[in-house]
Amino acid sequence: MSKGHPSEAAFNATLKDRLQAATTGAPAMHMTASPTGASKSLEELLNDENAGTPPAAPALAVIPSAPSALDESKLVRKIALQDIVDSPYQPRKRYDETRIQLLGEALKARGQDDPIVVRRLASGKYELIAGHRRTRAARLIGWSEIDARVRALSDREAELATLTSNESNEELSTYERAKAYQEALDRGFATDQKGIASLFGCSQGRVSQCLSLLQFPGPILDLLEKYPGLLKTRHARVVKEMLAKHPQAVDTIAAGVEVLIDKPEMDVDELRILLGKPFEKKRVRSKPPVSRMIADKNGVSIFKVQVTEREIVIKAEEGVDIDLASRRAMAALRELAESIEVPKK
Amino acid sequence: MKRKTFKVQAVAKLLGISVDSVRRDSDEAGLEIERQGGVGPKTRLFTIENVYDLAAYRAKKYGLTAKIKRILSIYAPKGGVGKTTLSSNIACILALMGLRVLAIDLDFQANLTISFGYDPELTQEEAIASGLPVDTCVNYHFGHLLPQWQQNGQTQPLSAVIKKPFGENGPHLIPSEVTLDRMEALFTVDAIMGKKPELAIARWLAEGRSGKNKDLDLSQYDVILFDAPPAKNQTTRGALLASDFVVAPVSMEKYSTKSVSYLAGVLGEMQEEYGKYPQLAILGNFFDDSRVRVAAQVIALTSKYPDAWMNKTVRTSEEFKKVLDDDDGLPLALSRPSSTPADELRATTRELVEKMGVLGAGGKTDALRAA
Repeated sequence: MSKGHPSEAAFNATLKDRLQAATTGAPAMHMTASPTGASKSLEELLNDENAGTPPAAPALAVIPSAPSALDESKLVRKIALQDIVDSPYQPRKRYDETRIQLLGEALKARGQDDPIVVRRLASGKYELIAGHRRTRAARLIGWSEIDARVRALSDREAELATLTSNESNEELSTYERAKAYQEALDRGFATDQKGIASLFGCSQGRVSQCLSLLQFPGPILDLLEKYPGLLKTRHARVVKEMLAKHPQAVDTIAAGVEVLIDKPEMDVDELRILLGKPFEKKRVRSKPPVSRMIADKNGVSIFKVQVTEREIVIKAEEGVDIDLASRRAMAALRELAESIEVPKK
Repeated sequence: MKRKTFKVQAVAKLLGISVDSVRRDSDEAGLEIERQGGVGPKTRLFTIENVYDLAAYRAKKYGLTAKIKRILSIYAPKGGVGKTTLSSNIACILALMGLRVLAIDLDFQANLTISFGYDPELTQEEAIASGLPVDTCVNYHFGHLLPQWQQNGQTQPLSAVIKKPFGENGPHLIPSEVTLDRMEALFTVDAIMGKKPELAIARWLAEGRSGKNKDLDLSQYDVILFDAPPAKNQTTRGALLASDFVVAPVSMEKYSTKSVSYLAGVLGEMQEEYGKYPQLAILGNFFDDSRVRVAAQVIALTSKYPDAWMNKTVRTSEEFKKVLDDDDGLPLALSRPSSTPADELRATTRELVEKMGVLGAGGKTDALRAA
């Protein structure tokens, strides 16, 4: 080539050197999570980037990383999918199969953008920190290995990293979040809701909202355990209202809540009516007694029948043989009486 | 390569002004314009450079200035939807409006570069041997302007890289050639080292637009336009992240809804990660509004992205193919100014200029007059 460009082989050789330099050189930089909102200008973008890491990634900041001799965390490597095991700390309960399938198709179509994060176990297996869904998707589409970043983490660090890595994930349900927050509280990663909020990078209001789910009585928690996405925040509020009104009827309310399994998008008012139904008093008949006409064969009305709660009043028009009519009516009633039984008082 | 020349009527069409205005303003501007030889009337014969000089003169005369400078990407993840054709034509039309335009070819296949009359594979020796101007060769590309390129060769000043296919006042071009794809590999190394390569283009633009680096002065450009390749890689992501707007051409022949929704997903990720993302504009390109299924696609797109759908479309036309055979380095909007697709391209570009607010609210009438 006469343009003075190095050859493809020479160029590729320099890449190798760069990669080697990368693994021993500069410290790793974490991707910074930014809040959503309107778009920044180019200058704002760069100013913010140059200003250093804003306090948006507290999850990783609080982990005192053990300074290991060989820090592998910067290096992306391929790891066999069969060597990857789920994290016992993963708050996610369910994996939506359709979504996993979609994710798999995306992986197939455009490859893997971000490496998953794992840690190495003593057994030689790798435990997932972040990437449970991607790993499932990769298995689904028949990949044998996946890009991963291996981080050296203690159990405690791994637990926190797993708990927090999912927080940014929209698809985690309120209940799953609540479990993660509670877990973090129980394990002493934070002492109060404020601590949780800064740990997970969300508002304190959100934390308290999520945690309030765990206050529900057993039968409803059992349901949530099975269907973590069952109660949206707005639904939870209605359920709480109902429980406050009818504290003895937990099972009835829990049974009512089950309807959300089939109708997850049910709106709040509908749910309120539905849950309230079993508690409504039997309505006293307030309608006026129904008046019914009975006509003769020419279509002329000859009887008017009024029925109230415990009375049947038959009024006959002039010219009707009352004697005959009453005998017939009595006979009909007797016939009816023989076929029914009224409970004794 | 002898480029076609333009008579007064064609120039009037290109600039969207009257024949008399062309004559008056070109005299006023003191442009040296060739006259037709031989017997008969000595008609003015404008070169394309003359046309752009006239456009620039008129912009100055009528005080047309950009109210805001914009960065624009023409991009869709799908190939063959007309990204490059649109890029070259939009760049040319923007410059005809009197705006200062820089087009950047990000595809190593260099179709945009070729569309402006360059040959990225030609070496200097070959050019000299076959009597072509040396400027037809492409020695450097976008990568040569980035710091990432340093370890693979010298970084070049903008003046060494930039091409001005239609003169100083026409659109400027940062060309491409086949080794541009190495930039992607260098970006990947950056990514591994945690250096955020997707910000590289934004940084480059910010530095250039500040005008502080004399080797990289982009401060004069009103519109910087990226022609992005149909890939999802660090380069395209970097261009998108740096852009204020992204025009996604959708060819309605195949279901392109998915391609747009995929792009929307990328933009969503960007908003989430950086709080910055380009505004989406969807343009029906190679459009055939007589087909029912096209209408169905339009409905799908407009209901999902009501603000993004552009009212003007560019319909399918044989003219596009004919232009490719002309081989005179002029995009359709220049080589066939009176054709229907040229009209549609002008209308589309006007809508885009309005959408981007380049001329502000007050400048709109000026722009309409100038174009």
